[in-house]
Amino acid sequence: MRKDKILIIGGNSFLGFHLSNYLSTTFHITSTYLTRRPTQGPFVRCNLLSKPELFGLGHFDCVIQYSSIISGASKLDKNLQMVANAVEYSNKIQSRFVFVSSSQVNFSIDSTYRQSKIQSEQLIKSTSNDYIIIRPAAPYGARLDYAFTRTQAFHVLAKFVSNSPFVPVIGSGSYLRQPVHVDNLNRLIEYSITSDLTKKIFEIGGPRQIAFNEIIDIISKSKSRTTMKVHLPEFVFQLGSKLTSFIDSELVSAVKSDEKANNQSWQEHFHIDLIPFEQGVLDL
Amino acid sequence: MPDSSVLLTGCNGYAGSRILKILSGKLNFVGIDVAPGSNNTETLDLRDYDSLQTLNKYDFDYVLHTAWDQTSRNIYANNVKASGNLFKYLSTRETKGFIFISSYYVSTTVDIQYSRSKLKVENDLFDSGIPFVIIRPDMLYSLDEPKIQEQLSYMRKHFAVSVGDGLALRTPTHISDLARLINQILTSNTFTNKVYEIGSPISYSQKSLLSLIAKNAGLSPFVVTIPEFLARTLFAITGKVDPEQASTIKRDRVADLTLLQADFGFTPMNFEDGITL
Repeated sequence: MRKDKILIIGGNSFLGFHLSNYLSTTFHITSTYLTRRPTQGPFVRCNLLSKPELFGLGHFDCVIQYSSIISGASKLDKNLQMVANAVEYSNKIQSRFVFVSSSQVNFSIDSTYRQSKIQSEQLIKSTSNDYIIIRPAAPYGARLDYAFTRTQAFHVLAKFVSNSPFVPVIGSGSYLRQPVHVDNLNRLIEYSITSDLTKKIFEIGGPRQIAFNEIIDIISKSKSRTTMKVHLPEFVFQLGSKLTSFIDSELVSAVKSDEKANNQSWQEHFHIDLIPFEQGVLDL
Repeated sequence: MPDSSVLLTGCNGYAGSRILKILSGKLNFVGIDVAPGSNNTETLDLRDYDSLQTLNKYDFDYVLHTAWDQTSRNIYANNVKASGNLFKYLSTRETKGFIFISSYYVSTTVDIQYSRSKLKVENDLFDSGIPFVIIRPDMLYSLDEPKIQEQLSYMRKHFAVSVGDGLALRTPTHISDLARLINQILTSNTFTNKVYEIGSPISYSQKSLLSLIAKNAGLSPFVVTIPEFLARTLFAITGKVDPEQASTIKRDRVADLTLLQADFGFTPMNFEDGITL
């Protein structure tokens, strides 16, 4: 069945904005936002915790949820309530629900963020009539001309490499990541919108796992820079997280978990040429 | 003679009393409030479900819900209980439509008792099945609004008070605009089951709002800036403002009028015009 009208909840996030741009040539896109400040751009304000506001948005063929709360008190309860509302809304308007989860559900170190994704997935599986769950691993992509509320971690890293002779690293830096280019992620979401498959979970990462130390080396090489890695104990970053709002304390704790995405989960259904990090890094 | 009868909760509060005054020739009101006053048809506490039975003797088609505890220590519990009782009571009789005066705070990520209570009641109204319109005004005002009157009293003593740097944006809503919108909804019986933000089409910094108030009164006060923590303490001592709101003062509040204009063709007035009325 043709799906034309797409709602992206959290469309003014870095990934949501990329997705909106990617899909806008094929679909009619409505993007929602809710941030600390008013936003410029083609967005509709919507507090996902308010059912009358969400249901007042009207009918869509597919609802994609990017929105989640990643810091602050009650984030677990709020994230679950937002998902519950979005699923109830999708069921009522008989639309497909695509939930962008996280590869962190497979992390060995627990966090409230990880729990919110795990419990959200469980909620979706038990209540949604038509869903696809996508677990991206460390997405990255080109900067966009928009004042995002948070700066992407890869952009912070690239800026550090460009401007500083050293980069602070949490611990040994030997933990693995599998960064996926946002274009690959968007292609998988597009497949998820149009495919007849339903009630599936897809994991997507880059073509290979890369140690965090090597990620810095690859970014440095792309910028023709020589970067010294300064390995600091976790407590230094924990202290930094308490003094600034840049990084959530729980994310510091979880960073040592290795990340592995099972690309086979979608490769039997769709074809996507995964972009090697050495190539995609040129977008940073 | 007006045809529509409206149950107005909070008829002695700032919003309720001004709306009643503006629309009294156009609509029949049954006014209720926990506090005695000149506008009450009945004095009753919505937190006491049994007291709502006194409304059985009145005919009304619509409900306008403005009653709200804004300053106690139990803002959330009081408002959720009171509104919940109202929905429970209305389930026993026919109601053509319900207008809820929510708050712009629900359009933000602000997480305080006040915003949580508004959000909860929005959801409870949605779940009640009653046809509704939810209005989220930013900063209701008129020249006789208590906080503006308080600033004017300071200004006559040659100073004005600003919390923080005074640069956060606001889009104040003139009370007559809110009344005009309510009248339009009720007289056209247009209950869209949607949420609408309302406020000045032009946004102003808090300092420029003070300047406009002073200019309108022909005064030139010196602006005294007080830090957030001190404001919070003063709010707690005076009891005039919810202390939790002090933590939200630095945040911009800019109403998005897109839906209001699309569904009702409604454009509110700018603050610099409204403050002269």
